[in-house]
Amino acid sequence: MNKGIAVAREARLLEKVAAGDHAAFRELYESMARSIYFYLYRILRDESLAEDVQVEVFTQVWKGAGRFRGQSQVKTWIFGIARNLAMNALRKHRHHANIDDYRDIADDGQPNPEDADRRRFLQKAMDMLSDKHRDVLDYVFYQQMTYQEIADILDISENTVKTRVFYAKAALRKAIGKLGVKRDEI
Amino acid sequence: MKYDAAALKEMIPLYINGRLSDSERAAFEAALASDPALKQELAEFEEIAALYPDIEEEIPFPSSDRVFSRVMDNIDAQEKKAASPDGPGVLFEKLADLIRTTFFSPRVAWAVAAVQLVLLVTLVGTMPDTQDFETLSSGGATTATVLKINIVFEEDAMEKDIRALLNQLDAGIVAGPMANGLYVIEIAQSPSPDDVLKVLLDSKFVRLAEPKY
Repeated sequence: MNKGIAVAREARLLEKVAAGDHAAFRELYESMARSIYFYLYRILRDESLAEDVQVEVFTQVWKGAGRFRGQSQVKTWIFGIARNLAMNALRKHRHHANIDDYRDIADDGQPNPEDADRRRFLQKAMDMLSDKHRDVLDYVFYQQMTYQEIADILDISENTVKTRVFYAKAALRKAIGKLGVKRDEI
Repeated sequence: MKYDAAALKEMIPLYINGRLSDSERAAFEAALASDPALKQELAEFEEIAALYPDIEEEIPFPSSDRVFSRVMDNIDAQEKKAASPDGPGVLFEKLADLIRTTFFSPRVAWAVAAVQLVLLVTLVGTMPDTQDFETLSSGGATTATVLKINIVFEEDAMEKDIRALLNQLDAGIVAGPMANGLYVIEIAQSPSPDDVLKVLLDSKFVRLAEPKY
């Protein structure tokens, strides 16, 4: 769907949600649930926690729809709610995490020479990125957002987003280099 | 329109996502034909973008119907809770009652007075006769009125909204968040607690606000 049409459709749906329209709420949910869950799962790395936060996100969308003033797109507003709730959940659950949650993917078994598929290799490198860098690549390439949309969600400048995207790519290259060294050691 | 090398490079992710305008896309494609470095950069970004279908495949998406019905149950539960006599407003009243009954009951007040008397007698009795005294006013010290407020923000309030509100009041968070979402904010030399509370309670980002005793 054309982005402009999608934006207008989401705004129309949210207006109906604010008026208590359940069908519109379901439609808005269906159009955004998958990308929001992807986003939450990538931050929280926990299936059931991501689902719990997903439930809370859409509860807040229902409750807060009447307060939406249209200063941003509906999508960035919902991502903002998701980000806040995910960060709260992360803070609450951080003390329950154990060392396994922080293991370096490069140490996740020996790299298999037969597993030399470049895509898999890149994915391993991506798992080595910091949350901040992985996050910005997710926004750009999975959520397909513009720099401005990302800036709105993260409450940073558009220039910072641009810089971060290119730093993320540089970090990915560095991670590939690191994995490459390990592969040569086999 | 002409774009410099940096601007063209910034366009790469947007080009991949189809988020460039027609004129931007035309300019980008024209530059691409004559700039091998830009072409190389594009290829590297395309490789990253191509990872996402595989990443998505590994995400354990839950059943949409099940999660949606959980959302609706959660909304119902929260609406019922807000309408019940044990809603958050009443919770605050109970908290205030607890503080009042604990710290302002006659029994506790007499106990505190007795302890103060004992301390006073002990301190005066052990003080040397030659002790010099200086009052606070003689040293030029000023007294500051500090207002503390218990506050709960709306869950969809953004950090920037909260920051703007607190800056407006020259307030700072001194405690929280507690398990129930309660924060304590502090405002130095507040002219009128009522004015501050009015600003807070009028804000759409504040669910509850009460002076902390």
